[in-house]
Amino acid sequence: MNKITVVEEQVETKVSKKVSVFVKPAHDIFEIAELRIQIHKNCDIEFRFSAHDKKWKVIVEVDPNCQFHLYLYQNLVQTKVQYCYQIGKMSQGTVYKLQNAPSKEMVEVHLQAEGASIQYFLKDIVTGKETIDYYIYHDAKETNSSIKNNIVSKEDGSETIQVSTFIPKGMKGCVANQNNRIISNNEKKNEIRPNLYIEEYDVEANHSALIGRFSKEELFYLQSRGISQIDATKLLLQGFLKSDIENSKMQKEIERMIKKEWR
Amino acid sequence: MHTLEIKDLTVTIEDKEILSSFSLTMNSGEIHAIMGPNGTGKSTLTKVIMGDDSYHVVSGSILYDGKDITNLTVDERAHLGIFLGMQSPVAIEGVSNADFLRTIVSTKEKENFKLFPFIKELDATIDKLSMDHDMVNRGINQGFSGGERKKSEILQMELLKPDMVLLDEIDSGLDVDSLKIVGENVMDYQKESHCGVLLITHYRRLLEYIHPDFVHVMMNGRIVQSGDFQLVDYIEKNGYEKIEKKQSNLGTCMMKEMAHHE
Repeated sequence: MNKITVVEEQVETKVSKKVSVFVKPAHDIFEIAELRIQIHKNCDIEFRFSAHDKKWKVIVEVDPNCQFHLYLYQNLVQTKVQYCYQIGKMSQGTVYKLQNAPSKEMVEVHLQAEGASIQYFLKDIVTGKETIDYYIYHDAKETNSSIKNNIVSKEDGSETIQVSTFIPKGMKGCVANQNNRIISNNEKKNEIRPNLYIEEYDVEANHSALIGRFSKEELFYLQSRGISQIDATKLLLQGFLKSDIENSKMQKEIERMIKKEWR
Repeated sequence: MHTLEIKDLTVTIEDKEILSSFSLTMNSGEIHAIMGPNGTGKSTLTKVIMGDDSYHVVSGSILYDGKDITNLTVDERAHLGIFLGMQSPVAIEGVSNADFLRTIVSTKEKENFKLFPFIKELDATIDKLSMDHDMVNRGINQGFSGGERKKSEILQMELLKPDMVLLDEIDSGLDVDSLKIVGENVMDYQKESHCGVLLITHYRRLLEYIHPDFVHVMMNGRIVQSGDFQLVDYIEKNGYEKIEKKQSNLGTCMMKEMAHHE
């Protein structure tokens, strides 16, 4: 597994020739630090990203015919970050992102050429005010995007999530999916804004959005097997946050996060 | 020897009375079957015994071995040894059956829990129920057919080893072969553990495998007639209409008698 670790402005990399990493640090508080990750061949990357009071831009450029899995562990405090994924012809990317500190971020995805696709899974426990804006551009025919956000808000957690998908006229055969869910454990405001800007008829596009709590039926079922209410909630949280994640390291990190937040 | 006693239980949901002065006593080793038309409160009864707080207990009580459990939480009742096999078990995404089954058994057995014997027993029970071993890696009831869900309920019952088993329409959604497997598994477990069983069913075919000692007919939230297996045959032949008529005639006679006394 290729490894990239960013702590404040210190960047450490342990990568093969399949991946290139370039850093442009910020020289003052007004400048934006830049991290550029280039993916040349099929690979998996573990990316740990921690920063406090900074501005970052992370660009992921994917060459044609590449398959990659990016495991992103993010811990940003008062940091603005912009991610930009540029996916080349016939390339397929899967991003698994885990975060436990509120952030203000923008995620841009450019599916630049035919056959490019991205699957994006966010697993997030929010305890403060957080805003995430996604812009998904289907810049070519037969491109595919699937954005799935599973977020749990607790204590002072308040989430605003906007996912905007753009499919211009002529981009036939594209598939775009959005699935946004927020489990609310407090009385704070949470918002989901799904936008599908589609000018082409020959596309398949879906979105689903849910803000709510775990159902009484689920809790009753688990409790009827002798599991206490708090343990039943933890089990449901694990299911909610661990779904789609097959990487055991990330699964363990999710368990650790739940243990920390629901002691 | 355990006793589950439901005494004059009246239960409402959103101000609608579902159970009215319902009473029933069940001992270890006994098999009770409750039959009755749709919407008479049969499923509600099992959920209320298990402690579902969607329902409001207006009066009456539920006793287990003489101790009032009406105000216990759902998990506390489960720890006493009460098990509910549900009519429509929920599917829970992301929580694998393996994690779930290990959690429920280790919660019950506490420090006595040992992983290897658990896996051995789980494998053997899956075989006994003719289930696919791959089910342990799937989410709880996720992508399960109606029959698989019911078998999964019986699997949990066999692993948890309860003393009082409530089975709510465990036969619905089962094909003939699966019905036989489920019926035989319940019967084997009942003989082995000497547990009490309360079955809710609409059909005779399940009762051919799980032979009840007592059959009750429930209407309008209470038991209106009790008997043995002959009552099943009677219902099969005549439906509930005659029992209903008998009840309403009985009601009219009582009213007349009361008027006469006045």
